[in-house]
Amino acid sequence: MHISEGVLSGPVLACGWALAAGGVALGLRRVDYDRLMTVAILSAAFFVASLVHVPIGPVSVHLILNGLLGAVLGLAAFPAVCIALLLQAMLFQFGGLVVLGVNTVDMALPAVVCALVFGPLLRAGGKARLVGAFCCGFLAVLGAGLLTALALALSGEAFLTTAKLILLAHVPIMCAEGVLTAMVVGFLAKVRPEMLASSGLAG
Amino acid sequence: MWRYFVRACCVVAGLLCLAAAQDAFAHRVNVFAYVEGDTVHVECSYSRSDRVRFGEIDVTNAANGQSYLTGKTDEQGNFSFVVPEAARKAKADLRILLRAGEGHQNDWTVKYDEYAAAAPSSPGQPEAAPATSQSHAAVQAVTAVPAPRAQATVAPADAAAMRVLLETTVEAVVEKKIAPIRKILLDEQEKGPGLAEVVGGIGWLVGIAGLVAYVKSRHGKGA
Repeated sequence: MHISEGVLSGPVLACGWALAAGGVALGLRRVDYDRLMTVAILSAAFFVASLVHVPIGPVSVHLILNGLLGAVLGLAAFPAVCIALLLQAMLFQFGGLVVLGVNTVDMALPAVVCALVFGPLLRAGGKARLVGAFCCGFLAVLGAGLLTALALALSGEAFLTTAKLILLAHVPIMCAEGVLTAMVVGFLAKVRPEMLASSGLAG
Repeated sequence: MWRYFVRACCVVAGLLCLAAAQDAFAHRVNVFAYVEGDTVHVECSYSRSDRVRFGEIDVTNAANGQSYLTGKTDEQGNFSFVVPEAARKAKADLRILLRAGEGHQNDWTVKYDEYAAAAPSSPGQPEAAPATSQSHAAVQAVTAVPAPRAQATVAPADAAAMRVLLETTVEAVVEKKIAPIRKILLDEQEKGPGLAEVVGGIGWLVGIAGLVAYVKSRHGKGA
């Protein structure tokens, strides 16, 4: 879902940058000394995830992991996503530097919103946490698809067609992300509960 | 802590192996165009196996954006067009823009020099060639040779026709010879990021985190 350089119109790009800058600034405040490495590790996971392709039927899709970043990092998902996308743009020419703002918002904003909505579930124990994590993984990808379609629609592409195409292609990955996020959050809750406890959203 | 670290390393190693094994990347579309005679062939792909079906192609003048023609790629992601006369007259570099939908877009530029050499006529009818500017140049070149060698070209018109025939033949042969090289170039372009880039990127992230940690630790001491 990386939008290429030169597709979007000026106002959309500017709006994306403004939102991304706000998100990154807010997110950086949440990153204290103890959580720095968590942010870096998850940023690395996000950076690598889009290179891992899973063939599903005729198409191959890749993991996105934005839901996981939201669930574990909260607002700090913004800087993590932004740096990972910056490196992807510079090293792989995925997306681009001008559209970095929009791409960051597309990926990070739904993740943060999901984390806010399902925060109480995530902090609860047992099955509720797993359900919350699944919803984070599933809905963050859905939101990212909708935002991508919206950004394209504001620049002239037909919203419904694009949204349908993107979402249909990502239905399998939404499920995979949901399961994976639930697994990782469940695992972290057992091994490193403090990583989740300080997910930054509660305070 | 150590067990956690080892597990994390295993996961990263596993991801890297998968990343190295895969070469399909839908993040970037590739456009590759080459000239054959007076026709430009465009190949569009997400990766070697994944062609851009029915992507929109827009051919414009690279200098001023004037649109020459538009079209759609076929099932195989291929698109061919004859160099437009207007572009030939304007000596324009052709910018071939591919819109693959869902925000995927890329372009490729065919320089004027690449297609200028080919006569606009089909190779089978060299008689038609003298009408074009390219063949005019050939005629001028022949007639402009210095006096001592001028006697060698008995009939300039014949020589010009000969030259055109020779040029098209040589072009066809060279075309055949460089086809494999073109394939290598194409494959090279379509190759996704390798292990080196991936590891390098992770190195960057660790480095940035280290820098921030260092700055924060100094800040903490000062406060």
